[in-house]
Amino acid sequence: MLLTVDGLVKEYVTRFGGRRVPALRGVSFSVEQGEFVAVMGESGSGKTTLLTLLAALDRPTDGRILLNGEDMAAIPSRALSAFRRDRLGFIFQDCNLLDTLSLRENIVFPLVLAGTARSEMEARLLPLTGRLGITPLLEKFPYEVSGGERQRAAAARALITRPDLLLADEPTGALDSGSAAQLLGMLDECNAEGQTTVMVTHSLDAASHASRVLFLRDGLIAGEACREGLARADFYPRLAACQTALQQGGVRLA
Amino acid sequence: MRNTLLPRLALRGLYGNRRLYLPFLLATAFMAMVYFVIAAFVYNESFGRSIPNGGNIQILMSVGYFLMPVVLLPFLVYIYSYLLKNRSRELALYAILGLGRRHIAVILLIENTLCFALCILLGAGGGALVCPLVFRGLLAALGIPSGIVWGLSFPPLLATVKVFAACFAVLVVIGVWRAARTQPCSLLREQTQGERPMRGRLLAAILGSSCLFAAYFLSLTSGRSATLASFTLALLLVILGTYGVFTGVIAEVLRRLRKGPRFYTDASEFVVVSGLQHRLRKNAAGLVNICLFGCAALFTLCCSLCVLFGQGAVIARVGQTITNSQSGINFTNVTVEDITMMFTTLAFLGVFFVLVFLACTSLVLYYKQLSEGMEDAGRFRILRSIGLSDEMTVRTARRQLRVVFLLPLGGTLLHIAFATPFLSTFMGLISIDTPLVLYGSIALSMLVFALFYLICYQITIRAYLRTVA
Repeated sequence: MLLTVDGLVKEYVTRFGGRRVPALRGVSFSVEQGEFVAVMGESGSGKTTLLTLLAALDRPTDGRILLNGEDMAAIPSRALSAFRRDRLGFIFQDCNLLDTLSLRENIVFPLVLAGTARSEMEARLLPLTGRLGITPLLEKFPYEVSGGERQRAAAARALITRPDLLLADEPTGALDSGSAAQLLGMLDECNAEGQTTVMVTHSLDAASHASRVLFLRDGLIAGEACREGLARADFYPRLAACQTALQQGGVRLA
Repeated sequence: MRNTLLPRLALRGLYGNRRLYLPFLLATAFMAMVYFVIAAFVYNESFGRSIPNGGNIQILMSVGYFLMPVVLLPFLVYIYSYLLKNRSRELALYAILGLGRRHIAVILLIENTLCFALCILLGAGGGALVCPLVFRGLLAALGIPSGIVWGLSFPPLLATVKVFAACFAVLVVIGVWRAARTQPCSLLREQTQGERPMRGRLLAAILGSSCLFAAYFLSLTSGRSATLASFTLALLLVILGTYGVFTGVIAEVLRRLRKGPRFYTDASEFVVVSGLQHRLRKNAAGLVNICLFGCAALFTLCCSLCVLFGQGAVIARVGQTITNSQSGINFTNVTVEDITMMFTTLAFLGVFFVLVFLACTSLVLYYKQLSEGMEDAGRFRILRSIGLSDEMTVRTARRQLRVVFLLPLGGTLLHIAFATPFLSTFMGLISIDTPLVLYGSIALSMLVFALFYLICYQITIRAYLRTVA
């Protein structure tokens, strides 16, 4: 098992008055090597909190996260950033590319942090950008390219470290439908090559690319749908049905 | 309802941006105070009559009285456009919510009127408190027993109100003009826009460094026989040269570093060099202004210290000359009191101006770091989410800030070092020519200035790291 999440609880304490607001109330699931899992939910369901915890950007109130059997809570905070850098890759909704760096510099930045040799950087960079179709844009700055190209550069930055787990937070949220389809196709390809991916989204279309979809509601996993070899066109209506059913009451679906 | 809406928005604008407006208010109030004190000397009639040489002191003070508004206005305009730039989002939101340009003009008018009122209240109030102290200090320095009563009068207040009302009126006009010229949508985007790579970098570098070399050459060669004309020319060349060097040479150095071998192997260099390049592209003018304000402060400080330390020797010498000449023909009607008066007044005026220039320098520094800290916070958040450790974040932020701070300081110290021949000529005009006094004053001034600057740096870096980390 690549990723095991066990009884995850996260409570936020309001700044004044100290009221405790639960964001996650006991979430458990696991992800196998090579799986593509989507987590679906409305705004406020706890999606982003879940991803923040998986990304080790915050500590859970209770529960455990195991990556390759290693408990994230056991990692000292000093080593966390190295852990994040070496083992995890992120794609954010708003790209989070640095305006001060060209696309090339943005993409290799995690390798610079890790102290990778220059030749190795080039060797990893070009095949990746070639596949994403952004090789001609490498010397451009983020504000000089389109949103879709930015997001592909962000994907390249996430994948260049060859992470154990790729985390994507609404990766298509800010894209037009063409760019979104292209990005999701790219995620499919990576997954086909064995890249384990967890994607958080509220778009049915994006979720239909996954091999398994978890439905998150009010901080709990309210349902789960497996693709089981269905074509994407057939999986989509099933997901839609699940979502409708869940909105009427927490039905557990196989 | 509508009558109270705009004033309320104006008040909220001031209060909501108190981190921006409080230093602005304090600085303008401080300048109003200094101006009030100078005006009080100029307008006090009994002063001219009741103390020896009072009239001459008033003439010297009136030089400061006329010079200060000239220094004040460009500085206020510069700071105000900084304030406006930081508030562009808020003003755009007002426009989108349906306030017309006229309403925004009214808001800006109310805000500035309030600022003006507070500035006068604090400035004139503080001035009235400080005036007797300054007066007594001046008398003590002149060796006149203090028995003379210092009466406050209305004209200095009126003069301060006039000058600052004019300044704030200019600010309102600038604010309204800016708000009217920009479209709300582009205002909203202004803070996230990328910048074009600077063109003519090499040209700026070459022109800038030649200007600077010319200015230094002028100072070194014509120093002893310097005239006001050659000094003005050198001053212009230094200003142009500093702009050229900061926008051209440093940009070129950073570009080379970015192509260099260490860029991809040292993560800290990677972040710092790209960050600095961004900073300089966006706001090299800010650094240049800090450098030039620093030059003004440091040059004035040098002069004041020279006068302060040099006057003893000059007075003794003049005293000697007068005594010697008393046996023969009395060719001069200069007395020791005259000389003492002149020097003391000059030193007093010098200190006033040093304080004003230092206030300008630190305020520009503060705003620069504040606005850039807010912007850098976003950058460092991204860097950390990619895997830059907290320790590394702090180290990198410090390193970047150190360069941003040390560049203007280095420029200022270098300019003043090369201005030494001019300084020595000017001091020679008032008979201060002891090398020890001259070089000692310059060294001490540099030390004091550097210390002041480093204290500013410490304060700012703490605020900066709080926003960033």
